[in-house]
Amino acid sequence: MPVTARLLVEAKNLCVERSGASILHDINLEVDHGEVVALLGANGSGKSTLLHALVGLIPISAGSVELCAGHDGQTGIALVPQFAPPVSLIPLTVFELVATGLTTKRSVLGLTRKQRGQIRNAIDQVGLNSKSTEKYSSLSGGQLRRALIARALVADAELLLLDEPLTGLDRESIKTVVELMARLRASGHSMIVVSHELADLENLFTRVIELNNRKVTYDGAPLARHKHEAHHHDYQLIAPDLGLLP
Amino acid sequence: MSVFEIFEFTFMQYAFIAASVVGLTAPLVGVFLVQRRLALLGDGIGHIALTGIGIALLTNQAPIWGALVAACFGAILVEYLRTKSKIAGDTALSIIFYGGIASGVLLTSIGSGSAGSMLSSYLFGSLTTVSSSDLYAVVGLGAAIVITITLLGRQLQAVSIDPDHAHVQGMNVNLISIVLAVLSAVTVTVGMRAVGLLLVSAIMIIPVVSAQQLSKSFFQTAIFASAIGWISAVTGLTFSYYVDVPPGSTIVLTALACFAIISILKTAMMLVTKGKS
Repeated sequence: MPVTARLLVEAKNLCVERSGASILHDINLEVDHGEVVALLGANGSGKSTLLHALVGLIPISAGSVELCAGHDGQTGIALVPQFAPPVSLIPLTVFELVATGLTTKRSVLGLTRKQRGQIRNAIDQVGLNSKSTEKYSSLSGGQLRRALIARALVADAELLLLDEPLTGLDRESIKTVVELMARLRASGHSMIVVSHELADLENLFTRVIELNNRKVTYDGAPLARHKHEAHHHDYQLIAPDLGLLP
Repeated sequence: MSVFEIFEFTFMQYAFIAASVVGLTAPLVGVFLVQRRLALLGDGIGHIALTGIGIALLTNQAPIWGALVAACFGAILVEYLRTKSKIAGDTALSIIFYGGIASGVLLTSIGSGSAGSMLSSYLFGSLTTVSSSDLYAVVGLGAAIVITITLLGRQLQAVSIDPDHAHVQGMNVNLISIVLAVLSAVTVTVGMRAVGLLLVSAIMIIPVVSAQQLSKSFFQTAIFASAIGWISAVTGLTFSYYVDVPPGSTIVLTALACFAIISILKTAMMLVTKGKS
């Protein structure tokens, strides 16, 4: 069931269990158009599980999830996973990877000229024009993350779910991906971003949701303590460059 | 002796058409199987198809249709067990595969009255066993494979590359996985006469492994693999005629020779390029 015109996702009393153990308990969540939400929490708090449960990759044991409807049989929501699909023997170009973002249950025959234009446009948006015909396995970590964002953008999804978008990236790649996310926010995209802490993203978010011990423990505007954690994290990232750490 | 002498025989014309169909279509299915890391699926389905042949012989039906029904049933069962079973996937599959070939040997032996030559022709292919009705079936099924891949190729590709992403996109991943399993079953049936049930899986996979060394994209790999599959099939069939051995062995060995030649040439080119720079 699609949710209302303004509401992009709505979870009511959502519970997730695995092998009888409770992973998420009684989660209530609504995300509106234009919101950029940070989903914070320690390792194992259930952040990624919640993201995957919202899009149906993990079955929910109780409650309900409603998503906005998209174009051409799509859900209107796109997931940017933490890891790219495993590299296989078959070469796959960046163009081909991004093209799968346009594939739906209604896709028959090959790509139309209009769809090829959409794919080139999405690749252009993330600044990977020169890599379009290269194998995605040859991309750096930051380029790969941008390619996955292009795959999410190509279908014109209204809500992007990003799972740890900065994890494992070097300083330069973090800067590029953060700039890209800021541009997406400016262009009206809504996002839910899973992260350990605000870190480099502190100015991006309109709202913070904290998960702790299977439940939502905070839901509101970013607080000073979130920023403090961000500054602490920044210090950890920058300190080695300045020779401040052994 | 003319090079074209072999085309004077009707059975060789049929064998060449059947081999061409399997050479062109099997790698088109194989490219998705390799991407999904299901390279041995065709091998297992081949084992199950033998049971269908045995049942067909016992009931006086055409073996190709018995093989098709059993292979499709087996493919769907394998896909179900692979995704839903609580038993370890490889354990569940091996039970079906061994059960399939054991039942097949038993039923084929009873149905044909003699185990040796009949079994050998189904397991390793035979030049003289492609009848005109078989040929129509092979061409029809080959066309069905090409049409299905043309229509659903993008969905098959998306699910093969990243099933989780495909699910989020609203695709029915289980249905598309079953379509791929059934395509594999149809390919096994198409290759049954020319290459044989035990070796048909090789012609689905080896040309793909060869082609990926020359390709820069998924699409290119599929096209090159199909071309290498066809070259292997017709060259192997020609050797089979002159050496008088089952065609499955010569077709697969030709495909392996293509793989070896491409690997050596690619390594040599890399060494030359490295030397220049």
